[in-house]
Amino acid sequence: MVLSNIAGVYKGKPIGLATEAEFLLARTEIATEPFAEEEYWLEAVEWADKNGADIINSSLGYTNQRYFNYQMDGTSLVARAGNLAAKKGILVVNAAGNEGDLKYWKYIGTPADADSVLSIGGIDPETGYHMSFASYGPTADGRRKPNVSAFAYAVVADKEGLTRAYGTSFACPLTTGFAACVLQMHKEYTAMQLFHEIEKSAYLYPYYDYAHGYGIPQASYFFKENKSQTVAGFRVSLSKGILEVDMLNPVSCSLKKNYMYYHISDKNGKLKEYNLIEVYQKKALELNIAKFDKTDIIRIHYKGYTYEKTLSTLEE
Amino acid sequence: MYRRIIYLIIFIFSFQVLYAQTVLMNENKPDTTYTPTKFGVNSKHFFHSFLAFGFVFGEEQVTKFGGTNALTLGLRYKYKIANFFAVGSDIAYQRNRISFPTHDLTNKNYYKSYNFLSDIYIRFNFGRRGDIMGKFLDLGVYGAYTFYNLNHLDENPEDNAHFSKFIYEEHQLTYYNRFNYGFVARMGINQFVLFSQYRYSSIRNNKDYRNIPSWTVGLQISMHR
Repeated sequence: MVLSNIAGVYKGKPIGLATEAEFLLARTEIATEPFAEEEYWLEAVEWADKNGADIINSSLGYTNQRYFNYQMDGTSLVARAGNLAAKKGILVVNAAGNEGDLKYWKYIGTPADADSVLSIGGIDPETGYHMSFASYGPTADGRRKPNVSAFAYAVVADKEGLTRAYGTSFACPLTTGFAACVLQMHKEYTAMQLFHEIEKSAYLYPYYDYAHGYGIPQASYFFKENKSQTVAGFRVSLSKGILEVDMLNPVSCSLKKNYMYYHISDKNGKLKEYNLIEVYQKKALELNIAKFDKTDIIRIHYKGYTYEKTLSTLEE
Repeated sequence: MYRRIIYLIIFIFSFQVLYAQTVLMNENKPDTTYTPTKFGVNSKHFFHSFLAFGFVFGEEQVTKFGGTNALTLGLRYKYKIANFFAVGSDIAYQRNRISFPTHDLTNKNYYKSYNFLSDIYIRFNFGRRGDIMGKFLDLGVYGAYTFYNLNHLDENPEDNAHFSKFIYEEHQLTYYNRFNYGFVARMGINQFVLFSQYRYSSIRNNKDYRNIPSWTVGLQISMHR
């Protein structure tokens, strides 16, 4: 099912994103073999490297069955294997996980916690924002994850034919197929260049949060089309410690998916708060910023434009 | 009338646009620092409740299999010393039912006791695991105090024109021991536990009676993730 999102052809029509790529298939799990499975994953990465793979798609993740949440810091065996693969020039794309709505574990699994692994979060195609079950970042040591997102609800092929399936397991191959297309276009890219360019192509970039990462990568970025608006559709002001965001143009209340993302981060980029609102009126947002440090940074993203300011530089 | 309806519709729609926004996602306190916790399934301390049901195994002449069983509802504490070793204790309520063999005129004959039970145990864990209970073996000793008991006998009287059935029920029996003790062993994978309880003490204080079988074996469900 996962492979069909990259390689699938149905009745002569491609349903995957990179159907003409060459594929190596490695199966690292058959029956439940805790921990040995991770060693097989490592062996599969080595095997892929020996056979000249450019991109690895892995819709696997290991969570509380084997680890504590504080161990999701990129040091597990598979995380280190993923980083090693990246050093060898392979882009490793891994699903963030489907634990987002669990009370005891909503975090990304490993190897999605690895520094050089492109971790893929999940977006609901219907709403256009985070799918509730998609796992949240950051890593235990505070690094931004997931890196980007894709639809976590996809049409896939199984033994019976076409069907629909949920999970970041399907968001992952959608991104892998996309990465393969980018690599075809830019053969000169190294694995980490490809990694960063995919991040930059995402529609929220440079805005990010721990649910969406930088959002869904956009092909238009690689065609040098103007991805983002350079003019803000809103105005930010400060009045008596309250940050106010007013829309510059009238907003129709019938307009759907009129989303505004905003977050407050510390100076190192670690998020203290992040939110997503659907805007209906001219006065979109009022935020009491007195509770935050002066060195904290606010970022607001609305329709391709990202506003960024350190709180101390905001003037009344 | 129509005018009122129109006003009402206008009112409803105007009320909707009073909202400036809909909050779709509100992560006010994102979990950005993960630290080991002292309380948790595989942390230093852990409490959970459990429910167990077991059958007493023994000679058919003494008890009836199936009708002789134990139902336990309890609370378990676990103190982790090392990844492979823990100690702990249970407190529980246990209902024991001992069903005796019946003869031609007897419909039912059983003994019931209601007990407070406590045990202490040592636990050996097997294999690597994350934030889960994993596979384990518990060995321990228990003590139980019977706070209430009864004996029930249901008989069909022979050639009695007035009564078709006699029921004898005796409460707070003195010929059963109030205190009992023994050993427990449990093997489990996460929530699912196979347990056995061996009563070392004699259940009756009158040695003229044959003793009740000592082995109870059953399944326990632990109430944790």
